[in-house]
Amino acid sequence: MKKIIIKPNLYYDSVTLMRVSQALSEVPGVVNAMVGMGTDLNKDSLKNLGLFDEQVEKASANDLIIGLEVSTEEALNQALTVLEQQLTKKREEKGGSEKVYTGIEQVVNEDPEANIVLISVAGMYAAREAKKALLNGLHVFLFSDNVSVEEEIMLKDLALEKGLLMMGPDCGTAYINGTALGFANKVKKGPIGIVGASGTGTQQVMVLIDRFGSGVSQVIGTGGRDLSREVGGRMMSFGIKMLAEDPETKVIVTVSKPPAPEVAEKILSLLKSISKPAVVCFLGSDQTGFQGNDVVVVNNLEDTATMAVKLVNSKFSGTNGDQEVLAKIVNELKGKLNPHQKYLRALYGGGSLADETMQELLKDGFEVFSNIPLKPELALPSPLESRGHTVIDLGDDFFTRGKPHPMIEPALRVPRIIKESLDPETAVVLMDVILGYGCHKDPAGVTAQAVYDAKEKLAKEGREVIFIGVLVGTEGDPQNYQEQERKLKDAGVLVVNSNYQAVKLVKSILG
Amino acid sequence: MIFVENIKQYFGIYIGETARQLLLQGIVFRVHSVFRDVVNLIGEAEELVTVAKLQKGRAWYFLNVVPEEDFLLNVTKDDVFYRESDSLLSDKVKINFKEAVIWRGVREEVSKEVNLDDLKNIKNAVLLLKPWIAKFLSEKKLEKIKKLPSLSLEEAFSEFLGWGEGLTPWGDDFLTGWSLVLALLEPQKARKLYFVCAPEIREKTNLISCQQLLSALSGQGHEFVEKFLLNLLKRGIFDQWSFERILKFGATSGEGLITGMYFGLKQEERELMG
Amino acid sequence: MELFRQKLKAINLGNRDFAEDLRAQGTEVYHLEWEPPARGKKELIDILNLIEDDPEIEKANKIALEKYFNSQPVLVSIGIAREVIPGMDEDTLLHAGPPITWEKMSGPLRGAVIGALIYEGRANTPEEAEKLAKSGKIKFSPCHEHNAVGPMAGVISPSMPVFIVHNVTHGNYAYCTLNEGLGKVLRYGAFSDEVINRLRWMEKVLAPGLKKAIELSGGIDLKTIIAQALHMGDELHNRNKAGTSLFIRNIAPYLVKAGLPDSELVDILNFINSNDHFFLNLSMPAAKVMLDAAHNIPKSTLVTTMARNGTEFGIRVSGLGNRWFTGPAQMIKGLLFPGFKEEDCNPDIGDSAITETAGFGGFAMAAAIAIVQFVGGTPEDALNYSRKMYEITIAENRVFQIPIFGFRGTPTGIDIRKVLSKNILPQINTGIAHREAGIGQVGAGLVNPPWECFEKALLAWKEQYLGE
Repeated sequence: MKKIIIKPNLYYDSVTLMRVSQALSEVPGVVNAMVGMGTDLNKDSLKNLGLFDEQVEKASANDLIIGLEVSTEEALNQALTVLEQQLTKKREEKGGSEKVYTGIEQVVNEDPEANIVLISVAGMYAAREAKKALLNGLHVFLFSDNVSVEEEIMLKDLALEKGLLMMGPDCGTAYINGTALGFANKVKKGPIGIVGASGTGTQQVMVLIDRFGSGVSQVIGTGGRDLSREVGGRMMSFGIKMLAEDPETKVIVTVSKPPAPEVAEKILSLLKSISKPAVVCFLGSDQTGFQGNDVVVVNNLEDTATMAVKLVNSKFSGTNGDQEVLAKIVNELKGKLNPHQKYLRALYGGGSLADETMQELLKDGFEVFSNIPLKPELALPSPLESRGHTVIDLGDDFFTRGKPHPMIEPALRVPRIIKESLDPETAVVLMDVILGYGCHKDPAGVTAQAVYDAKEKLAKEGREVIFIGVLVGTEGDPQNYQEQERKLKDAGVLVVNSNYQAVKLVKSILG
Repeated sequence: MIFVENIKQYFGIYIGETARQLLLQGIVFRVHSVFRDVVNLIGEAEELVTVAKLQKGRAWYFLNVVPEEDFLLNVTKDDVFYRESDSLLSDKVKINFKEAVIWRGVREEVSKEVNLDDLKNIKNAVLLLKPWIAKFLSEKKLEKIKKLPSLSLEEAFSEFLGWGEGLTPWGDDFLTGWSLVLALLEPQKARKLYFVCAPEIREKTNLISCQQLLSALSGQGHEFVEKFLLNLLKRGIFDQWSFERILKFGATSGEGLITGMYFGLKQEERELMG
Repeated sequence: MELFRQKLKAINLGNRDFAEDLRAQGTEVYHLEWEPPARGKKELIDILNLIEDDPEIEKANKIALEKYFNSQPVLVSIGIAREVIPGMDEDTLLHAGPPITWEKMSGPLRGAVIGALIYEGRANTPEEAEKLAKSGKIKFSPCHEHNAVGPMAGVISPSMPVFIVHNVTHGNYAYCTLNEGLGKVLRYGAFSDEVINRLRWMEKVLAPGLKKAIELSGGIDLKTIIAQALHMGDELHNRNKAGTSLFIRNIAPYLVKAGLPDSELVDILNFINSNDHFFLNLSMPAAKVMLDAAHNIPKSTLVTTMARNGTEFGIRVSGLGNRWFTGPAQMIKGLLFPGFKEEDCNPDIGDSAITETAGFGGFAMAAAIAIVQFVGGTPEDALNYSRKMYEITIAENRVFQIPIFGFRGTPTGIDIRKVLSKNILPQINTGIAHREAGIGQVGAGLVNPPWECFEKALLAWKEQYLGE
């Protein structure tokens, strides 16, 4: 059913009209809706939709044309109501306060309650905006990278002087007062406070804490370079002190790659001087164990979460995953591989997870090539071509220049998943599927599609490949954890909830 | 605003084989029509390539792209894209399909080397579809369909081509559904029909219908449609997931397609039973 | 930490999804319509980072603006250009905008030059005039470099009568021709007999009569008229109805007192009365005389001149002396008189952007909402143009106000740093000249300066005050 309405001499700007069209097309039963001034361009579009008659032909650019195609009478009535609402709404709003803000100061001048700024503009502009925010007394979550070390130090010093958080540059994850900033999962409220220099590493830890039945007070991000010699752990120290003062926090956790030795020293002695127990995760570091009574150093993300939960709940047994079940699965899987299928191909969106995997495999003597290698001799000549065991960080600059990050747009990983699956030497394809705020709405769906396609192609070649998915997420995440898990399982992906478990699985399959 | 925005980039994830060939043969592509989830491009020789959101599923002449937010928001009818190696460029948008995975359908061999099993499958499929068809048919459409039994295949095509309203007229969608069944069960008949009817199809339908119909006769359907059909015939499953997505095609396109499939299957059933 | 006890309220710039995610979690967030400063040019951003909070610049700008604010422009007399304008001689023609050669002049400016040479008796035909203009005998010089301003082509020739505006506070003067009316006029490059005859009448009858009246009045305070006209719906660039009316009220008694022959008196009053734009040639020198006072303050980043010659747009900055920073003159977007097409339009021309520089004109469009009927757009647009200008100006005017904004002062004093860091160009509303000589005005509309002017000025500022 089609309906065309002309309202002569009624002018609306294109933004309003777009909004009205959108609202109409969302009415159930509306098949097509087009609202526009009677320009030639719009008339053509209407013609395209078959919404054209003599009165449209005659309409002038000052006349408003509404073209509707609906499936029922009821839909038409509802659409007309929505149309009136939308068209009159504009008038009211213009009189009121549909205000556009373009600068930080502009907001601060009008709303003194604003207290934090999230910055994700291109790096070359980011420091300037962060400085403005700090000067206006606002905490900063600086997602952008490509900010110079000098600027980082300047910003962090300014923040410390003002008693403000300067999270970043290159900070992906924070969780303040129960609100996820950037890429973070919805976790239960609890006694564990985290200061993290690594985005996905921090996500993995908070997710596991939640899974182990505890919860999180605050997560402060520092940015990946905070523990370098130059920056000297400025924000991590500050974060630790803030958590030490925070009455809600009972246990302090830090997550980072191994820092420069003097910085490690500084962080450890600071933690020792604080009366709260602490778990320090230096991802992949050789040294582990207790440093004094209540500071423990660990080197993987699962142990970090386990130790932290044990510290608040001594009864927690600290097991994740049923070893027997795993062993059975491994045996079954191994049987499906032919003798040429020898290698792991891991495709990560989360850089810290890729690091963890390489560290753990390296410890057991695997030679793992990568675009972010742990040793220079393990660098891939081209990040686009795998060789032997390969772990790729698809969130690395090489892949994200001019493109969205794979955590935001996991579909960009699809061609690579298929390519690796079809390599005759591939035994295991390992992928992370990261949920939470900031991430894609349906990462499992997109990944599962690729696995289906790959399996179909492999079937033609009479081969199978083992797909393992690390699902980093909680029940509270906006993506619906159960459904995401089901999508992966339906596609034949072996799903685990901890990267560490995935690595253990890989070791026993390939070992 | 004064600030000149950068060109927005999109990335091809899947590319249908037909789309790939057409894109690599052409240089200049004009925007034929713009919808919320798909944008139709026409090349120099009037051939159609559809740029679609990833969620729209795959087809032989589709290029599926991400990000899906702000999908080709700046693109308007009659914009021009130029192909430079593996990218399409307009002055506002770049679509890079270098790494897109080639898609060549969900073909599984279902032959009509008849035995009773097949008839059973077809009968079953007809039964599964039947409850829906009545809902899809208005009186006008029903009248049209009543003519079917008295017509030869060629005559039926002539009768239905370009009939009805919509961007792809209902009759064209109907024939597309029918053709897919035919191409699946009696590929030789479909091929013959292609050669007989192609000129008339080109003449009587619009560009998009024409593309769909000719593809269907060559056995190339949209991913969801093929999956639905294969599940129906091979496994005797009514694939609700695909069905719902098919119904979202265009205005009445989905209904038209399914109705066409139904009557195509019924025709096969009739023939098999002699 | 205090933050842990507060309700989170965020500002987001960059990825819009972050803001959506916060909203989904029930956290209040302002998403900024952010754009990279200085159109994303690293070199400029680096300079801005260095000097944006420089207290010395703040001080310099304050001094400059104070001189503008306490200026008192008074119309004191009318003189003959060659006698009163500094640096003017028999062979000089002044023109609008930055310096330009005959070769590069656009149609309307060439037309005005031809008309002026015929008017001066230096040529009898357009061909002769063109030959003379090309010969190199005529010196072309910008009005602005002679304390003068001229609308559109802005040509001032030696014999033309000019208003003399005195800045009583600072002692400087500014000059401007008398407005000829709309349609076929010299300032739009027309030079038919009708145009030349009108100029002669203005020289012989209008100017002497007005001069007597002005002098009898003891001087007319232009600042007061401008302030009042803004309350009466003028923005004093493209709408001067109220200003012209107020001027007539001021001058009429003295015109009568001047003892002119009756026929001349009637002609003079009719001429002024029939020309809504008569006051433009007074609002401009008033703006000029105030801004000249603010010029040459070391380190100041205040724009003191914006002017166009039909080919280029030029600005000058208080702290950067008499250097022009130029870019190509832009095409004007607006409404055309019936019978004209876009192809007929000349790029932006005239010194009249001095009004915007001084905090009215396009900057005060919200005071002159009716103007949208003339330049296009909606009343809402008019308000928004003015609102936006507060973002790039240093102060709110103490005298000139916008009633609809609760009598808020007009946005005054363009700062090149703000223009660049906010990517907002000054808004000018202006007339459109036909691109061919001799045809005249074809419409009116809105235009911005080219971005380059400000970019070049900032780079020059860095070179002058920070070295390489």
